[in-house]
This record gives sequence, C-alpha cells and structure tokens, in this order.
Amino acid sequence: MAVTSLNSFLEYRPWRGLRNPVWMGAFAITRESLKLIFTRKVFWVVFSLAVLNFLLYFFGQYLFFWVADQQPDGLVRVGGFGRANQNDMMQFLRSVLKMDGSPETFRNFINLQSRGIIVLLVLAGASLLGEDLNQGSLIFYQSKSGGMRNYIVGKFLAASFLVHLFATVPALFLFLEICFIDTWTYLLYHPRLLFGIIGYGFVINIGLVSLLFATVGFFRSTIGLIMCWAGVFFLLPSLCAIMIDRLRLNPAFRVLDFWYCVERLGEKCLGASPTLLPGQTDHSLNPWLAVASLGFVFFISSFLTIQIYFKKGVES
Amino acid sequence: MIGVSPVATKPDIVPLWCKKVSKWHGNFLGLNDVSLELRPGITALLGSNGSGKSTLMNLIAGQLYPDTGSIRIFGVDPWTWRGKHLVGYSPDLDYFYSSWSINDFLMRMACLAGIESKKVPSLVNEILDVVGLLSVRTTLLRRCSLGMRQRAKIAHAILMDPPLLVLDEPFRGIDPVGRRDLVQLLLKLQSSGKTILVSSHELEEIEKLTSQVVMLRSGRVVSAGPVSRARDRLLNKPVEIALEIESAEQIRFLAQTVFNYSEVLGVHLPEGKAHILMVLTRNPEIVFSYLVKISIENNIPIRRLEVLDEAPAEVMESLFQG
Amino acid sequence: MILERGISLEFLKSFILGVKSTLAVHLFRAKVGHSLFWVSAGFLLLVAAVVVSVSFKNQWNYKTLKPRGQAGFNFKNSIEMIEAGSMALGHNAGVSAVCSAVSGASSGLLIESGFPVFTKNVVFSVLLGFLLPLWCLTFAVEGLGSEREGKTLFWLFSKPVPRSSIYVGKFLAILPWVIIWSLGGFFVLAVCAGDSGIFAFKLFWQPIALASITYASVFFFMGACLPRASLIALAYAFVVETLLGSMPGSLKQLSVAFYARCIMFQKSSDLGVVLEQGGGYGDFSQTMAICFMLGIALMFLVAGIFFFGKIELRGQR
Repeated sequence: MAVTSLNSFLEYRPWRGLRNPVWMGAFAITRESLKLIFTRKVFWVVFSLAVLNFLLYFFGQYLFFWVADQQPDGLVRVGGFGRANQNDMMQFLRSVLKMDGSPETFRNFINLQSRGIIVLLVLAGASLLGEDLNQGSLIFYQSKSGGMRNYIVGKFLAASFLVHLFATVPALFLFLEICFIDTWTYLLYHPRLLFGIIGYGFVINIGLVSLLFATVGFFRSTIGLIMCWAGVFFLLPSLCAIMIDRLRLNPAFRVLDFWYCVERLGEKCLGASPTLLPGQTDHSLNPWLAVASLGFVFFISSFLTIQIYFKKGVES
Repeated sequence: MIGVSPVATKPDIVPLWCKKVSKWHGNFLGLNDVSLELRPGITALLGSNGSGKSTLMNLIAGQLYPDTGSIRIFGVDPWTWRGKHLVGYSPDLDYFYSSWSINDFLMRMACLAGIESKKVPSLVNEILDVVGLLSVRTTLLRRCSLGMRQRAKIAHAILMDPPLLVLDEPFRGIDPVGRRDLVQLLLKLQSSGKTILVSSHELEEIEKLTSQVVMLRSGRVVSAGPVSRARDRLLNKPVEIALEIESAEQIRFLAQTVFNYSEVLGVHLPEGKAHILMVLTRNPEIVFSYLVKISIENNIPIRRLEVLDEAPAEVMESLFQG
Repeated sequence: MILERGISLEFLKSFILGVKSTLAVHLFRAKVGHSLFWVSAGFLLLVAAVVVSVSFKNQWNYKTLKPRGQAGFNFKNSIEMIEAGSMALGHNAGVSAVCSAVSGASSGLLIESGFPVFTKNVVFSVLLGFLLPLWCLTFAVEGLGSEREGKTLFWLFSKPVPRSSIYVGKFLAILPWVIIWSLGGFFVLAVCAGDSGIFAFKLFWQPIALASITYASVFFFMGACLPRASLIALAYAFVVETLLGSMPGSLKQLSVAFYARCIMFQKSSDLGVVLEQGGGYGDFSQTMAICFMLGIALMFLVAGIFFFGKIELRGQR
C-alpha cells in the first residue's frame, strides 16, 4: 500500500492555525531557558538574598522619610524599646547607610544586587548555554527556520531578564516608593535618576551577558566559567588595588578592572559621587576609558560569540 | 551444569558461587535474593532491560558489593584485590581513555595488572591477534568503531588469563562476521577450561554458544538450566509443532487423525502453506510418537518436524510477557 | 566493604606493585591542556605582566608608600624632611651627624625594601591567597576526578592490586606536576620582580612547596571521593583559602595558606624584616606550622584511601 501523504497515513488533521513570524521563535527559547533557570535551586537561593537586600533598602528608605516627617529636632520612638534623636537617625541613614533616595542609594543597591547576578550567571550560565554546546543540541536550533539567530537572541533575552529582574526592576520599585512616600515631585526633580537606573541596568546587561556568552562558549563547563569570572571579578580588582592603591601607579591602570569600569559608568548614569573604599586612593578614571573598557569587552565577546556559536557550535 | 538455590556445593570448588545476593540502588531493589552457581562452560544470562543482568555481572566482577549474601569465585571474594585475579570482565560501558591507542591501552592495563614489563609486548600482541585487532592496534580509541572497542574490552578481559570471564553484551555493535569470530573465540576459550558468563540480546549467537541459561526478571532468577527445562518448568503455554509433509492431499487426513488424540490441544493449517500442519500440545514427546506411528501406518512421508518456540527468544518472550 | 585485616606480606607486595605500576603508567601523563590549565596559565601571565610593569617602573620599594595612619607625606618625603632638617641644624655637628645617619640608613632601607613590598603584595596576598590554590587544584582534582567524570575508574578498579595502592600511586603521579607548576609559577613571578623577587623565591620556596603538597592532598581527596569535585574544590579555594584566609582573628587558621604564611613570617623575621603586624603569624613556630601542614596532608591522604576503597561503580553506561 503506497503512502501518499503523511496526513492520510497518520490521520492527522490539516494545520488550520496561523503561523507566527520566524523571529518569534526567539521568545520560545527565552521562555524555556527561564523555566530551566527557575528549576535550579541556586536561582532561588540567590533570589532570596536579593529580595532580602531589596527589603532592606525598601524599609530603610521608608524609615528615612518617616523620620523626616516627624517633629524637627525631636525624639523618635524606635520600636518599643527606646528613643533616638531625629537628626542622628537621619544622619545615620543618609551618611552611613545611604538610604535617603539619593543617587548613591540606587548606586549602592544596584551594586549589591549585581553581586547576586554575577553569582547566578556563573552557576546557572553553564546550564543556560554550556549544556547546549556540550550535548551537541545546537543542531536542533540550527535546523529550525530562525537558526542560530533566534537562539542567540532568545538566550540573550533570558539572561537580560535575569539581570533586570535583580537590578533594574527592584531599583525602579525603590524609585516609585519614594514617589509615593515623599511627593510625586520627586520624579520631576530627579528625572536623571529614573533614566540613570535604566541606563545602569542596560550597562550591566551589556557587560555581563556578552561576557557570559563568550566565556561559556569557550569553557562550556561551570568550573572553567567560575575560574574565568573569578579572574575578572576578583583577581583583576586585587591587582589593580595593589598597583594603584598600594604601589601608587598610574590610576589609568584601573581600566583593567572591568567591573570597576561598569560601576563608574553606572555612577555617571545616576549622577552619584564616587566613594572611596578603605585603603583606596583617589581615583579619577576618565569615563571614556571606562566606556572603552566596556566596549572592548563587548566587542571581543561578540566576536567570540559569533565564532563559537555560528561557526563552530555544531562541531562537538 | 548450573545449580539453583539453595546452593549446596562448597564455594571454593566452583568457579562462581552466589548465595542469596541482593543489591539496592537507592530505593530500588536491583537484585533480589539471587542464588546460583556456575560450572566450567558457557552460560548465558538473559533478561529484559532492567532485569538486573548488569547489576549481577558487576557484583560478580567485584565492581559492586552485595548488600546481602555473598559471592565467591573459587572461594575468593571478587570485591577484594585477590579476587580480581580470577575474573575478567568486559562491561557494557563505552568509556575509554580516548587519547590512547588500542595497543597503548592494553599495554598500560597489563602494566597496571602487574604483569612483568618484559612479557607485556608479546602478551599484548598475542591477545590482539586473538581478538582480531592486530592490524589496527595503533588506532586511537576515540576513532575506533563500536565493534573495535568491544573487541578491545574483550581483549582487556582475557589479559590476565582469568578462569572466569564475565561478558556483558559482547556482541553489541559487532558485524555478523565479527560475531561469528567471537563465537568461535568463546567456544575456544570454553574448550580450554574457562567458565564464561555472557549476556546478550543477540539470541541467535547465544543459541550457538550454549543451551545453559540463567534468566532474570525484576531482579530475580526465574530459571537456571537448559532452555527446555525453563520452558517445561515455568510455562503453561503449549508447544507448537510444525509438520511438513510431501503430499498436500494427505494434510487434512493427518490433521483429523492426530486431532483424535487427547494430548493434542489443537491443529491448524496455515494459510498459503498447503504442506504444513501446526499441532498444539503440552506433551510434545508423546505426540511425536503418535505422528511417527500415523506416518508409518498411512505411508505419509514427513519432510520436516520442528518444535517452533523452544528457542530462547520465544521462551524469553513468553516468560516476560506473562 | 571488606577491609584488609592486618597488613600481610602479600598485601605489602601487592601494594608496592600497585603503586609502582600506577606511577609508571600515569606519571607525566597528567591531563595537560584542559580548560583549568589554560585559565591557570592565563592568571600567571596576567599577574606576571603586572609584576613586570611594576618592576619596570622600579616601584618595588617603600619610597612612594605612606606611613600607616598618616596622610600627605610618604616615606621618601619623610627622609627628605630629615635631610632638610639636618642641613638646617648644620651648626650643631652632633645633631646633624645623627640626622645624616638616620636619613642614610632610612634611604638604604627604602632602596632595599623591594623584598617586603613584593612579599606582602604579591606572595602573601595574590600568590598564597588566590593563585597557589588554583594552580594546585588544576592538576590535583583532575588526578582521579577526571577518571570519575570520564567514567574510566572501572579500568583501575578491575586490576588485582589494592585500591589504596592505586590512590597512592595516582597521588604520587600528580604531585610532581603540582609542585613544578606551583614553584615554576612562583619562580616566574619572582624573576619578573627582579632581585627582590629572586631573594623572596630563595627564602620562601620551601613553604610554597609544602603548601602545594598539602593542597594537592586536599584537592586530590576531593577529586577522588566527592561528586562535582571541581566545584567543591573551587568553593574551598575561594571561601576558605581566599576569604577566610584574609579575615582577622583565628578564622584564618582554617586555611592552609595561614601556616605557609607563618613559616614565611618566621623566616623573614629571622632576617629582621617584619612582614605583617598582627595577623597572628608569629604565634606558630616554623616547626609547628610544618607539622600542621604535613598533618593535614597525611590526614586527607588517609581519608582518601579509606573512602576511595568504598567506592562502588554504579550506572556507568
């Protein structure tokens, strides 16, 4: 018996739906990648720490504005066990904790959240991208209409979602909080902050995600990824600290410290003043050098990504 | 000969002695109270996927330790380093030192086994010749075909000339010519006094090697001994006998006559085969005698007489379906 | 598991045979060229480049460093002040002579201060705190870890030699690689730093070698007996050695690097150079620190032999 068509043989109904454009396949990849990340325990551990940090800043800011609303020069009841001077509390929240809705608040918050993003991308990045390379599954993506383009875009969107989930979105919530508990004029007086938060998130997104693609493509395993990122985010800053802070070499050497450049660009976006860590000397890294450092990393990472995923990805 | 539990023989005089061996894999019981002993010769280990064959073989080879019971190879526990002298194992795994060649692999394994370094090259050459890999000895293992890697594993198993060989799926990936050569090799090893336990899904080759089988199902031994005994002991399913006679006109007469006997449960004339009669019975030996009597009395020459489902494949299929 | 009851002559012979044969097969056949190795090499090049650039600028001394707690003047400025003061007091010969002597001695000290600066900034912090654990990890974890990950342990377990001999043999096979890589890396950094670095190498190569052996034992144990050994070893290297090792108080005594630093501290103190105030490095003598490190190495070796003998190969398809 000759089989004339698969439909008649298997008694399939003919397709009656509308087909989406090819580029929407990227969203399916994003969706499935995020599902994969959400099944990892490490994601929920890091996410809970990020939520704790967010709550700290949320209530810290709330406390600041609430204290500011009390009688000036008066005493403020702290919990049920004591009283504190209003000015002292505000000074503490402003100068020490920096939870006063200033650009430094958002800078510190996003910097802390970024640590979580780095840990998450290192531990989950291998399963997000490395497994496809190790198991040879890229060929399944290549055989579809969108090909590797959809794959790269889909994975990029998934990693970007994580970055913004941890950094940009909570920072925007903190900004909104101030608008609610202070006045809406806060938005009018600090438009740069709003765009700065989005800009800082964008800078972290570009920097970290492009680095992730390149390093996962090169190492393909969690171990190699961890070691490489330890070098970038630990060894390089340590070496720069030794060279500049202890041995008083040219501060321009800080351009080697990729994460320092990202943080300085973030400060510029937010309009925050730079803060010196203990032992750190005055740094005056030209913002354009920071842009150049980020641009260099992005360019090299993109080049490696194209080489690894588009040209060599199918080879085992 | 294969012993079935309870094992009565002393463990130090038989090649393989297992008593009440059980093995857990987490919450899953991989092997359940298995007792058996093997004598010199080839024994097939049969069972569907997940029946516990590889677990039993790993236990015998000393790669796993039984949770209950004990295993002895000529009285020695295979888990200990002394026991490793007595068993050569060709596992089902396909992981090698991929950057080594076949020759390097066997030479280094021989060194690790403690064979004198002067004797290693000649020994390895001899073994490579036996398994048919001499001409491709310098091929890297990562570039070898599955069949070549299978032969390398078997070569490794016979490296130390152990009295017991345990071969897990040795025919997998080997072409028909290679399988024939491997069957010859195993028969030769058997004739030199070795005890061989081989598991395979290639039942044609198993039939050529041995009629002694151990059948596993869900971690238990369901049968140990000749295939026919397994069938007789375990199955209620009647035997089907295929009878081919020369004259198609006499086939109906033969069917009517043989059906009169109480031992015959049914007869069947297959469509499109005029010369063939299928007879269903639980007592094939008695029915054979009837058929011979009818054939002589009525001058009906019988061209072929065959019991259809005595083969391990049919026995296995029947066992594991039911 | 059935343990060997007592140590019979037969067991000893098999043990020695097993160690010899494992060593013969695996010595100098360590897996070089894997990704960890290239990352370690990359780190060495990076740090060497930084050290070279510092050496090029002749910055391995105290000249531009500021005294602790003082802003403004650095040591060089301070000496210049003493010299200026001595010139101003030129009419008082005695005071002037004392000032000249002090400034001369201080200048000499500044010039020769490359050794403590290099040791504190490179050897103590970067090498011991970050690079050395990673270099040792590179080879030690792969020793039996690669066999576990590659599922080739069967080929070792099927041999008629005690498993303890396989463990010890493999350990001895990776040890030369670990020591060569660690001391070689230290030597490269020392050469890049010039005379100060070479002096530091001559003085400190023994504690570095001892630390390498201890790390090798720890990481080899992890590779042989723990699942996802590389990850655990990295976590140990970063959390215990890097993080805890630089914390104040007694937490740092959990790290192997602490005992290496104690030996270095004692050695440099014998030369009159105090590398670090506080930190507790002076509380342990050299002998005690050596005993601790050897004890840790032996403890992990014995533990590894014990647990390695219990491993069952499951599900290796």
